[in-house]
Amino acid sequence: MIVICKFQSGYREFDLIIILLLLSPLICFSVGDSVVELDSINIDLMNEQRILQGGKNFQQSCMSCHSLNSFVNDRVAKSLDMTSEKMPVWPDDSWNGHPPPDLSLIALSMSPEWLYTYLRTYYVDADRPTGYNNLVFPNTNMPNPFIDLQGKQVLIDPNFSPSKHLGDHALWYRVIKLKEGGSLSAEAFDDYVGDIVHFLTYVSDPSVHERRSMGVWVLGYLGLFIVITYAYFRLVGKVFFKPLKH
Amino acid sequence: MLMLILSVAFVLFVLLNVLPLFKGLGRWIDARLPVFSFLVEHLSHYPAPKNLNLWYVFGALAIVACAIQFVSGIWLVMYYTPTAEKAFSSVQLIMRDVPYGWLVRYVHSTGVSCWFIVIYFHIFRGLMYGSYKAPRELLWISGVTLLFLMMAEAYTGYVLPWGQMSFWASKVIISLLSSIPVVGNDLVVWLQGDYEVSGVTLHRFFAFHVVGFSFLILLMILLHIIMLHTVGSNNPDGVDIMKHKDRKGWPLDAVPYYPYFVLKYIPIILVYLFVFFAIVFYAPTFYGLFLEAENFEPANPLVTPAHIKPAWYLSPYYAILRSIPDKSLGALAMLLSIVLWMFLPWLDLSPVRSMRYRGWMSRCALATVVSAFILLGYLGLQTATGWYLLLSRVATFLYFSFFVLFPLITYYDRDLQVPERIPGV
Ligand code: HEC
Ligand code: HEM
Repeated sequence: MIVICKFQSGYREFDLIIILLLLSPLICFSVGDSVVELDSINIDLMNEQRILQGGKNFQQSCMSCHSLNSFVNDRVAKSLDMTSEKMPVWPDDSWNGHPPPDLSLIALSMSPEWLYTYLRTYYVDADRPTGYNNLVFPNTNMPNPFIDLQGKQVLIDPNFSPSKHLGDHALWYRVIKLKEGGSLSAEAFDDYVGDIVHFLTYVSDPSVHERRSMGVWVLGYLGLFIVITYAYFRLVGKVFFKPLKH
Repeated sequence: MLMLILSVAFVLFVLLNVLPLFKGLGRWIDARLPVFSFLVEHLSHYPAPKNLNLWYVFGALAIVACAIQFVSGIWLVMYYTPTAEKAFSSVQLIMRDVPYGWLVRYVHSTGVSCWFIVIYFHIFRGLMYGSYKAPRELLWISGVTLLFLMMAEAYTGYVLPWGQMSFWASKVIISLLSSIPVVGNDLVVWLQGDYEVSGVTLHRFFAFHVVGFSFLILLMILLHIIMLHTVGSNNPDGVDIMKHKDRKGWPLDAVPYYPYFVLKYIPIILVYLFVFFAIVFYAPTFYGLFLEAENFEPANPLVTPAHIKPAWYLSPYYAILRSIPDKSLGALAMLLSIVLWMFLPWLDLSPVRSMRYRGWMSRCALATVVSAFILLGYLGLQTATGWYLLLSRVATFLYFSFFVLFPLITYYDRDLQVPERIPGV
């Protein structure tokens, strides 16, 4: 149906887009079902020292069980002397069907925050075959690798059980506390694990250094190109095109 | 390598300005292979409405995005191994041991998402300016077909890295086919090449992805452009520019596509590439949206992931599927959610094209269906429980009610008179 109207230029699209924005209630946020809040960790992949130190820590604490098969040809792997012969191999049916997985991509399939919290939240639980349970990954089959370094953590509230508190998002240090210290102080231990997380984050995507340095050039070049073409076409447009318009 | 390409582009750009010096050679070639007269015909003799705005760059961007996929795809195929044992590790080989393999792979994985973003904007432009209305019905249908083909291409490609989500998402979607009456189960086995999703399925999907759907997409883009150049571009005012022509038959409200719009759009295409490469170099997984965390775990038929979800660009359709309690009806609704768009030219009874001259009801209808689509896209990535399930049912209802109500709305809406000529500019 047409309504004759003197307002000849019509509406503009802006109001349409505003209605659209108002109608799309994208304010919802996702709620996971974890027991504890994950700790944040600031990953600085330019810190080569931390990555190397993390690699050494990994060899010391983890490589007896976990392989990094995709990583062995990397420059850092070579300098740490991680070769494919040194990688452990487990048959599928070892460890009750849960053999230690390859960790080449773990920082991408989980996240650095997840790793950082997971590795620091083991606590004594007599019901588990290994004697330890974990807040982030309840009933994990991985034995606590840090009994010597971290010491023993215990539940503050002995009645706490992960299955009952799913979705609580509690802060983990409100749930467990250190009962007996290990050979490292609390800060030194956090650094030790932090180094491992840095290392594993690097391992998940070693292209990062090359990416960042190449990115600067490509984006700089494109930016320059944008300015040149825009200026050129404005200029050409001013000189040649205007008179053609009806 | 990239620097090289960019430098070559720059040199070409300079050459383009010296090229007129080589007119003789050009004429010699053109007499034998009419490339230049073809370009002239479709660029500098193509009458483009003079008021084309930024929304009209998305078609060109879609071609750029498609080209990026083909070039990077060819390099990936050189190193990728389509078997259940090797697929996952061959992708890691590309990422780590092939020189610049990470670049090619990230370009390809970012490219899909960016292509879909571009296409969704391209479609929105069409909806906003009524580009689907006569005489562009077939052009529109070829577009919806392209969307369909892109979804098939993206889906088969998503399976190839053979991660957890590749495996389980493909299993869920293939199993939908079994709800087709009579032939369903046979069809599933035929597609899978096996009684379960397996390495044979992977190999088939590889074939579909690399030579099947990709070539259909090329063909369909060609048809799309041919149809566009037969009926001509619509414009933001929806004015029919062919009504008023000068004595030579050139529409009074048109300017040649080259140089006007080519030159106007080149910096914009470069801005697109800038954003694209910023993602490739600095956020290639794009916070788990362009490359999902779950897919960095190798496929394991014995462990079902806690939460199976599709890639973001397919999630609206997946949300529709899940919002309907019956599996076969859900699959049907999912199919209809795209097919119904093909009928849009005949569901729209308004005498005007562009939303600029439509009443508030049509405008709200469009805003509602688009919002419902975006909301469905969000919900398709969440677990379908409680409030989320309820919301996705509401959104699905709103989405489909658009197709029912649009004829009524467009018939009764109070539209404005469209001017004879393109106003202003
Ligand atoms: C004594 C052997 C052993 C050692 C040492 C060990 N792990 Fe594990 N790890 C395992 C086992 C077994 C699993 C499988 C747990 C399961 O599936 O429940 C596992 C699982 C994991 C997971 C979870 C993987 C997933 O997919 O959820 C991570 C992460 C991990 N280990 C990291 C480490 C790190 C980092 C170290 C070094 C600090 C380490 N592990 C040391 C045996 C070990
Ligand atoms: C691979 C995907 C696609 C490519 C490469 C492509 C390319 C193009 C190009 C180059 C144009 C002319 C420039 C422009 O108007 O933006 C165009 C116009 C158009 N396309 Fe597409 N397109 C694609 C997908 C689609 C889809 C999915 C739809 C709709 C569902 C669609 C509908 C249209 C319509 C209606 C026009 C005419 C617009 C007008 O004149 O106002 N296209 N397309």
